[in-house]
Amino acid sequence: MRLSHPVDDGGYAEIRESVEHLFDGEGEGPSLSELDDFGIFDMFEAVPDVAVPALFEAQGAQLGTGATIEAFVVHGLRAAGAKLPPGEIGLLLEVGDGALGLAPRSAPVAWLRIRPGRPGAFLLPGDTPVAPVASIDPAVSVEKADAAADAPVIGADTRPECHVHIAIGAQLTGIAERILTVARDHARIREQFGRPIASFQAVQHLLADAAVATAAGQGLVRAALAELRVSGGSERAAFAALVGAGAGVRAFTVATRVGLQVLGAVAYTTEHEFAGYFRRGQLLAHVVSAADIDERIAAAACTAGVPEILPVDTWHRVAEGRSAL
Amino acid sequence: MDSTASTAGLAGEWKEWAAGNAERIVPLRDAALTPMPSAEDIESQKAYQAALFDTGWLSRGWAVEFGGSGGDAILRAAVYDLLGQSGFPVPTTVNVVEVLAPALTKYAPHLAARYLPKLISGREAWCQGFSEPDAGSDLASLRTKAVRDGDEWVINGQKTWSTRAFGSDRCVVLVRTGTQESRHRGLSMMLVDMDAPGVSVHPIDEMSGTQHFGEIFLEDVRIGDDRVIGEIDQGWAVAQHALQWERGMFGWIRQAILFSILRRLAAEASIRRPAQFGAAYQDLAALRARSFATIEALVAGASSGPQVSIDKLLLSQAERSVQDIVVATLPVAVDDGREDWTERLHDYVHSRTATIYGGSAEIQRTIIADQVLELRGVRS
Repeated sequence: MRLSHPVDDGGYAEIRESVEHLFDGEGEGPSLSELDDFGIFDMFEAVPDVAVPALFEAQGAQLGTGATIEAFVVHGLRAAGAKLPPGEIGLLLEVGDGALGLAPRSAPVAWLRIRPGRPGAFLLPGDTPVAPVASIDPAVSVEKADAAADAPVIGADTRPECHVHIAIGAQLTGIAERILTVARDHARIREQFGRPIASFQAVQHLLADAAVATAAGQGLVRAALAELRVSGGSERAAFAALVGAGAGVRAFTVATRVGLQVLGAVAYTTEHEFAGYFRRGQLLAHVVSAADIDERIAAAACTAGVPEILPVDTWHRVAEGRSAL
Repeated sequence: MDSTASTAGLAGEWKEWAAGNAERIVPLRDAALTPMPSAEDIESQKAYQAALFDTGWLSRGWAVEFGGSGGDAILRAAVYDLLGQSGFPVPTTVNVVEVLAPALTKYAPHLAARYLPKLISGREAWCQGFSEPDAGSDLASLRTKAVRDGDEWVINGQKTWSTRAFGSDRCVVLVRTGTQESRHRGLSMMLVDMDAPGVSVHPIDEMSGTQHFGEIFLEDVRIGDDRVIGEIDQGWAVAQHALQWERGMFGWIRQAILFSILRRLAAEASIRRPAQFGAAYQDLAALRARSFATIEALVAGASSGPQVSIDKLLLSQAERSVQDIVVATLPVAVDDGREDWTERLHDYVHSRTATIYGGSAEIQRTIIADQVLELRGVRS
């Protein structure tokens, strides 16, 4: 199913197919060094506009784990000249008064603590105390760090939260698209009243709503990437990334509402794959503080003068970059 | 001319120009924004359009042969964005230009050569005659007929919900040239002069206080073969082409205007209703990002009609949520003494129709289900 025009996809399909293998296996998924060996950093460098959505949308659709967000954050910091120790890096994402790590490696050489709304990241030692915490998604190990960090800030002229927001927005969009596909396929074969439920307009229109929300998520994640490429660690890029995360949350919210309704009670069981998507998305949405994301977008929009994402000049430079690829 | 290259620096150039020419352009803009009866409205839109064309803004993105200064629809989109974002809404007469001009260029180059210079420069305003009293969502059931008589076509029937019909100069009408049973395979697109014998047009009073729509009666209206757009019985393809542009470029024009509206309201609304403001912003940002990709696809000739139905639904949502927060912040039911009260009142009431015009939300959802989600033909 394609939710965009049949234009040249810039290699998206090809890259997506290749990154899907990263999430095939069980367990914790690829480490930073395995992602490096795979060539993900080269892809981030050469074709970010397609490699980033391909990686994270695939991860969402496959419920993959691994050091992917870490890789994207590290890529951003290194590109800005920040010095990071070699080896596995853990990521702690500030949520509320604590910070969460998603599926971190057992003994990272260092932790990066990302601060929403603020530049740079705290660089914490690998032995920073973290404790496992239960979450809605048993397939992901979640670690929690409590105390506010007092540590050196690296990459003070960058906004690593951009990378986190874009990565999670794209994962949520990938989950939404997957749920839509599963629900659509189910509606084609599930018969009631002697006919497939996909022949009922009420069901068709629910699915169309999920398609619209998912397409919106895809569009805004790509717009956020374009802003990141053009304006780096700026407020504008941070705002676009926040909106990208919000769009992922919205796509996920609509797709799960529609998906559960179309799939019916079977999707409420743990046997059905829907449960996995629902739980993962809920966890990811929590990590971007979905509960008040609308309010934060309003505040940030106002501070910035209600910017239009992709203003004409950015648009021009994006198009220029695309033709140079 | 390379369209993307020429968008560089456009914002700065516009800002400087608008500041230096405020005395001339602001009164024309304000007149165009004031709700008024149909014919007067069209005249003020044309005057505003002509001024922006003659000063080299709305001429950008049109081929030199049509009187433009070169470039393509991406450049036009960039100009519409700049104007809308900065509080200079694109004249509404341009909306129909964007719907009809690409179709005319593709399907009737002889008519494009003859009429586009007048249409794009604001010397003429056109309307569309698609819907009929008994053919709305089911457009392919329309009954207005064109019958061959010698070397002419004779048109009889009635069109309705034609935007800015009363006061416009010409109308592109979708008519039946085949049998009633031929449905969409027996339709043709034709160009009719609104002052031709047999054409009568009446404005329709709307609850927004304006006469946005008109109804057109066609009684033994005669036209020659040179007024046929595309092939006889191939009018559906022309209509679909036009609707892609309507749902694509019109959505783009609107998003720019809605951004400017949201911006004017931001300080107040975001404090009083932050969640609603944030949601409206996201609806609008979604429309912008989607619409941007659609325009690129339209220009590349690689757009897909069913995909544009997604844009249309995003537009309906953004129109509603932006106007909802405008009204939640500055109610319009009673004159609040602000000078833009009539404009806000009109815009709010008109926004309620966004789920109907240009193909209803239900039709868009069905198109998406059928053709994007590939559910067409699931046994019923």
